[in-house]
Amino acid sequence: MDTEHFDLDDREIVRAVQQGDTERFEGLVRKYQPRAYRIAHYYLHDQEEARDVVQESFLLAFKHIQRFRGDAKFSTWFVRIVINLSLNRLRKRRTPLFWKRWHYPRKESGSSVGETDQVVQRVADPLPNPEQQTLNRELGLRIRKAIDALPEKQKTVFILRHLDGLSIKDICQVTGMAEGTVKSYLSRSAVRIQEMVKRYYGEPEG
Amino acid sequence: MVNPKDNKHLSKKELADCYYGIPSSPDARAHLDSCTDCQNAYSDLRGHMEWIAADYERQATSALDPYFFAREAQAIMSRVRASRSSLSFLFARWRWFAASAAFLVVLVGALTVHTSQRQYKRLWDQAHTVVAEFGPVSPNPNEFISVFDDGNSNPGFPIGPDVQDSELFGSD
Repeated sequence: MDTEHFDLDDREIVRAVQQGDTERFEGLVRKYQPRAYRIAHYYLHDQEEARDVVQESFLLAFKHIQRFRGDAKFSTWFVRIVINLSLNRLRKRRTPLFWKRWHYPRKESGSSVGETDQVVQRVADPLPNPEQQTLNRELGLRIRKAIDALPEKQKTVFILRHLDGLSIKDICQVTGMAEGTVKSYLSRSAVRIQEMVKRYYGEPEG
Repeated sequence: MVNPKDNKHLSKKELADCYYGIPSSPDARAHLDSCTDCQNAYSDLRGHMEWIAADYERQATSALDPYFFAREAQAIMSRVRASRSSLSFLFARWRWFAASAAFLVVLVGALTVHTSQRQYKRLWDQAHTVVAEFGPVSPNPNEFISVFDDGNSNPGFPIGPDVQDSELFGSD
């Protein structure tokens, strides 16, 4: 994450923007843009879509910045916008899937490699062993599919905890869920992922 | 080592509960502290979560060039500036809307007054026509005569073709 602007006080910037100093908004953009991009990418697995979501999120935040009263942290408020827009994209993407498949058939027909696999293949795996790399890619793909298949709330909680690195308390603030609910969602998603990993390695599920 | 009480390893759910600090049975926690297999499973779980986080992070950022975020920040700010000017334009449009609405009100008012005046004038003309056509009732000639009638001394002054000169002036 960009640390250049960490010393800036978000509230001070927000107040300045609220009073009409648009240029100060760039401080917030530079500070939260990498994180927003990562979160959007965790949901969408697509660079262009993540980019769009981040731009829309900042525009939306700017448009409604007068409504931000500083009761919560700006980051909490903003991350919520990013999550909502990402989920909206996912919902839109899900609906016309049959349409997309019909109109834009996969180029790599005959192989089981899909859109997500292409993303994985672009990743430069630091592991030296090619066989291990392949295994890791395949495992990564399966894990992503398992996470993608989680219900929206579970997925959000999982992403915020494990991928965004938020504390349980912060997740409660972002999602508005109770601590017990957050932990329960995390536990369930971990069980599902563990089961998938065991299945992948052919181990008996216990 | 296994749990001496129930001779079973922790289930995935119990392991996950321990991992996320969900209060589970004290037996489960005690079992995890003492069972090597469950400790290994617990480490696997933690390792998987860390691996997933690293994999996602790599996936999200590896394809980005070093100037990606700087470029994006500029793009976002230019859109923000454009949205701000469009917002002011919107406000300006609202001002124009208000001015147009006021002008319309004045116009409608003027038209109403003008129309009602024309209508009033037409009615007035119609009234005049009616008056001109039928006219007011003409005065009674007797009333006219009575003007010259002083009542007692003068018995009247008959005017008419049937009045003789002798009647008027008397005879010599």
